[in-house]
Amino acid sequence: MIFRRVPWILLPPVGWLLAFLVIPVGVVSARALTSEGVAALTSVLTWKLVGMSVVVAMITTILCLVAGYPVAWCIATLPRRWRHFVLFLVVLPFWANLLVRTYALMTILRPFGLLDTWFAAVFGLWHSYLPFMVLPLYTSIEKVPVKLLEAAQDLGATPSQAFWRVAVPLTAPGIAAGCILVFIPVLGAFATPELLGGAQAIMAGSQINLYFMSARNPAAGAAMTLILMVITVVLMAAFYRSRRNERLL
Amino acid sequence: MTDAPRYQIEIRNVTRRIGDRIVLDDLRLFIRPGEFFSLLGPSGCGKTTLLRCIAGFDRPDAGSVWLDGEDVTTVPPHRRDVNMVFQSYALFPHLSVFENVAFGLRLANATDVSRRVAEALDWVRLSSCGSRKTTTLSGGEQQRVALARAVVNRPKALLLDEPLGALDLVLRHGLQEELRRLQRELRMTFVYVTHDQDEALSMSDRVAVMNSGAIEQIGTPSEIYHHPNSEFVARFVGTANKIHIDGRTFVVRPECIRLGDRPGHSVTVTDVVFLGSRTLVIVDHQGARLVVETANSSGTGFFAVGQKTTISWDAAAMHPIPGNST
Repeated sequence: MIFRRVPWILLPPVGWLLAFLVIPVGVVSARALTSEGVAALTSVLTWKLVGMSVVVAMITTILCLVAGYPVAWCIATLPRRWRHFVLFLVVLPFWANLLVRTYALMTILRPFGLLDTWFAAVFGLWHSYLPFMVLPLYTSIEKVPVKLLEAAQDLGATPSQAFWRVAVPLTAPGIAAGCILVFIPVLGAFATPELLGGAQAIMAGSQINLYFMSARNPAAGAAMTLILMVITVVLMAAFYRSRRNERLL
Repeated sequence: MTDAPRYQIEIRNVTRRIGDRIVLDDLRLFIRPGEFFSLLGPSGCGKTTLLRCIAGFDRPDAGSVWLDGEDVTTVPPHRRDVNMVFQSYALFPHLSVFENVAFGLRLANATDVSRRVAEALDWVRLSSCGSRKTTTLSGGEQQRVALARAVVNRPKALLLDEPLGALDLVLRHGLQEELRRLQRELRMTFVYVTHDQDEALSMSDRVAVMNSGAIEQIGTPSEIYHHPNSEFVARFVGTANKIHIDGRTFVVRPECIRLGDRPGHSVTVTDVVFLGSRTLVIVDHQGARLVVETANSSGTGFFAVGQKTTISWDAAAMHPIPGNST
């Protein structure tokens, strides 16, 4: 009896996936594979912009990791009753709209003459996506037993050796999750680099917007979108593969 | 003079406060090289804190810790030549058994890592498990990996924090024997923290009985058992019958009391507990509850609850408890 009802239960999610994933991806792919799309797929400019975006996403991810790890570590070592409060502070910026925060950054950066530079774009992205790094890192650092770090030091590891040889491998799932959560949205970021980076920092997201809105070349925009989607899917697949092999803590 | 120091570990008047609680109270302790030394006491008596002070994870508020004739009070754990076996094993889950054991050797840039790891795994009888993940091992096996990981570095002393606490009885007895064998073979100083009096008595060369941050008594297991210097020690180590004679307090061990075969104090049997090799007979002597232990091979006969009989003991079996006993 239950089997008969299963299709009806599945209808909303399947419908949702069809309407918001399969059909849009199909449309984008179809557009990208027209002659104008293929021209964009093979143009140097497209790959230069995608390459730039990948570099910016990598730099932002590394900056977030370097800044986020110590923050997450400190939160995880706080007394339990303080942890939730400080985590709340980490996500507090989300209460203000991204655009509002970006405009705020503009007014901060302009007096220093840093607006409309690559620095401003990366700085803004770093600022916007740091919480996405801190949260998964925190969950994973919190699970590392202090005893393991003590055991490492007992066996002759300096505190920094204990960190690199025990804490880092054990928090690898959190590091991977945080990097994915920062890298993928930054790769397609549009508003922040547009507002802060100006004409100097044009990333794939800005170019896609340009193709669709002003250049009236949706096929080229679809082509670039397809490239970003493929990169994202490959990264996600790699991430889930690595997660499947590791069940450490 | 470059004589080997007389003591491997010296605890000189160590005080440790946590908050406003005094965990270690001006404690003095001297442990000889190659000795199997147990710290025995109830939970919260400070024995684990003392061990952590020796390992370097805890720093005394006053006093000093000496290792092999050197003051190591302010030396961080990674530069102290002692290794610890944790109660929860603390094995590295991301490393194989082999890499767990090799951890200390690799940090020390040892040259013959694989030979020494193999040797250490051999000591703990896990030679075939090197490539396994630690998470696939049983509790007893994990404990032996933790042991191998510590002894492979040939530390000056091995610190064991209730290493068998999480294991079942049969496994415990097996590992107790193995620990003793390992300690004899390596001639390494073992400092063994436990709250299990049987374990401390059966394994140690010397035992320190601790109570609320201080040492009550230090001695060989036999001294501790037969000549307890306080009622606390008498009660914590074995069963103690307290007897008052002429205002003084004596302790008589249950196995030193004879039942019925000769004239003595008249008592009433209130309970009989059969324990296999022996039987505990609980008797009432003028309102005081005394425990008598009889070997089941001695043919003392059968005692029934309510039965009237007599108890007696040799004067030598009476151990005076010094000082005020409450």
